[in-house]
Amino acid sequence: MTTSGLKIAQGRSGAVCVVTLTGRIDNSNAKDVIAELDALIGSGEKNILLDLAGVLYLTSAAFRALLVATDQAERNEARLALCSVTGHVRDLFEMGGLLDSFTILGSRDEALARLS
Amino acid sequence: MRKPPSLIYGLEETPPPLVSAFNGLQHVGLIAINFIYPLLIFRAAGMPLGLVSGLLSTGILVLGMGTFLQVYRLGPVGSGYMCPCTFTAGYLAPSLLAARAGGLPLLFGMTLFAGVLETALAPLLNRLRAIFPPEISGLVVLLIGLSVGIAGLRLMLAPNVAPVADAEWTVAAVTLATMVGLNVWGKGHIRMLCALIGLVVGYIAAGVTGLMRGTFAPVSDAAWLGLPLPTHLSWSFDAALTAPFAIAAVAAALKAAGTIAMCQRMNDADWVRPEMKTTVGGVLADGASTIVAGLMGGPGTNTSTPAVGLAAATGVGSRQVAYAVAIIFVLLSFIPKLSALLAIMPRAVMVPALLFAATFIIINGIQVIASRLLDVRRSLVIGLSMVAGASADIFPALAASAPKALAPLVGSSLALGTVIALTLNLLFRIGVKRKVSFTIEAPELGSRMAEEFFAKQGAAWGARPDIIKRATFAVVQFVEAVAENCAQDRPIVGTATFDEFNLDVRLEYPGALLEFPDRRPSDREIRESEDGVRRLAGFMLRHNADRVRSERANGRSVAQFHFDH
Repeated sequence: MTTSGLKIAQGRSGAVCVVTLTGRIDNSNAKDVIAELDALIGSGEKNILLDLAGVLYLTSAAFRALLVATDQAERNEARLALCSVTGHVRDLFEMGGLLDSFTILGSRDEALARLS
Repeated sequence: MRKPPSLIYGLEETPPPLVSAFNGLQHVGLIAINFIYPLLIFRAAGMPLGLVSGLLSTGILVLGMGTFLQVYRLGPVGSGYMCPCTFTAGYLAPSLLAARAGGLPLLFGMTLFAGVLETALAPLLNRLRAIFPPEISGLVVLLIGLSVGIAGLRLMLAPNVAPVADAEWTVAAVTLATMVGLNVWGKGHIRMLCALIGLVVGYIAAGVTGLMRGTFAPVSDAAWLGLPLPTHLSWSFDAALTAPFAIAAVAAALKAAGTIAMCQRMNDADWVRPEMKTTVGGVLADGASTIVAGLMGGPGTNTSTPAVGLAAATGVGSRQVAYAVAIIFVLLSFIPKLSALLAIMPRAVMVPALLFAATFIIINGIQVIASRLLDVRRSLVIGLSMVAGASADIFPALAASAPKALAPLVGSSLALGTVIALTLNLLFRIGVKRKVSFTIEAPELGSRMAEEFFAKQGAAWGARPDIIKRATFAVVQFVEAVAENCAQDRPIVGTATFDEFNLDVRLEYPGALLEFPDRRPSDREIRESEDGVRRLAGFMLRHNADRVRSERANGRSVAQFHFDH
């Protein structure tokens, strides 16, 4: 699925559903991220991993989308974790004081090992 | 500071003594290849073998002291990280010039000057980066690599040296083949210590082929234990050599800062950007170590990047290992037999070691250069400076015909190439617009517009990529935050002003002033209200820039973001 400047891809590794985001996440496409994750949680997925390796940057609207999805996952007793949060993107999480608001699990392989 | 999962023993942790000792030995083994630099310099100064051996012992003691200074944190000096000290290729070319021109006194005096200069530069690191942008730092590293390789080849191929015997070609081939073979096809410890193993194999091959015949007396005569007492201490200074040594000192400071950043990243899972207090402390210790070298009688030193890479690979970054490295260096300096064995190293072993080391330095320099967007200006700076640097080695007549005060500059590929690069870099700044305006016609075009604008201007200015990313984010986030309050038919007008040390972005827009709160809204406020998202935007913008300001002017709102460059 491609929206303005953002590509959302889905894959699976065992019991974990991996959602890969590539590009920029801002006000123009944050609603697509919420819709995608909402649909997954609604369909009964219990382990969702968001891979941010290909993300250029996230704005406040993007962080709202991730917080809404995390809250939605908790209500449905599902786990939503983030991985590959590095470089400038990690800088933005730190800048927003948001590192502790999410479950952030190192690299994709490390995250899959933890969630499996 | 949160310990990354890949680290088995973090900075503050204490591994069992045997683990510290074994890791310490590995680091010393890795660094040992660099003993060839002082060896080459002392020989160039025309020192007899016995004296070279004593000087090497003192030099190894300096490495122990330098490693200690780096880890201990004596006041502002020292980073506190496991970051061992080593002899460096960076000081090789200037030191050879000094050794040939004025012997040991000039070598020690100029080394002292370089150390003092590096410590003085430590608090000005950010400014240094502006004068030495990454592509010129990369060029300096590349020229250092070339000078190491050429210094090696001169030992065998220069017109004024003894012709190379058949046995020497054989030993050189065996030594180089061992280093290369183990590096390409070896695994684990063997691969890591390939250079040291190559040296040992080279010595054995030299012994078997008879190259060592008659040279072993200094080793037999040397004691097993002895104090590394500084000898032949006197200092002199030559203003003509300040440029080559100053360039080496700047290169050492930049490399030390880079190595300390590697240490920070290795030890902190949440690392985002270099932390300046330990970086400055690390560069101060690095300069102090070179001062100690100048005072005690040795060539300049630097932090060992491969050793920090090894610590990252083994997951042992404990401070205790650095103490072990320091102790091992000190112990080795008390074994004159070892220094004597190094001092008699045949050129057939030394030259392949220099060529092997040069390869990786050259590639490292190329990688740093290639990490930049090379527009026409930068391509010319790099290309012309490389040709100028190479000409110094290829046409020695250039230096011979230059005025005496300029001869060391014109005669050194490193110094000449760097000075040409710095001059061209300044010259080519002419015509690069420093103040550029842009217009965002509609908020939904903000992201693409900001990305394209800053990518283009960043390349033209030669701005640091991390600063350009932050400026891009500032505009994107700002436009998003004020979008709903803007009249759609009235655009946002922006101005970006750049110089070597500052990037200022000014945005003038129709709408209410945006708040830049110093407290982040709660997760719940962000989730449940538009105001929460907007306050998060203001909070992030405040922390993204080094300074923010907003005001009303001429009936419009103005936001200003300042970034230190």
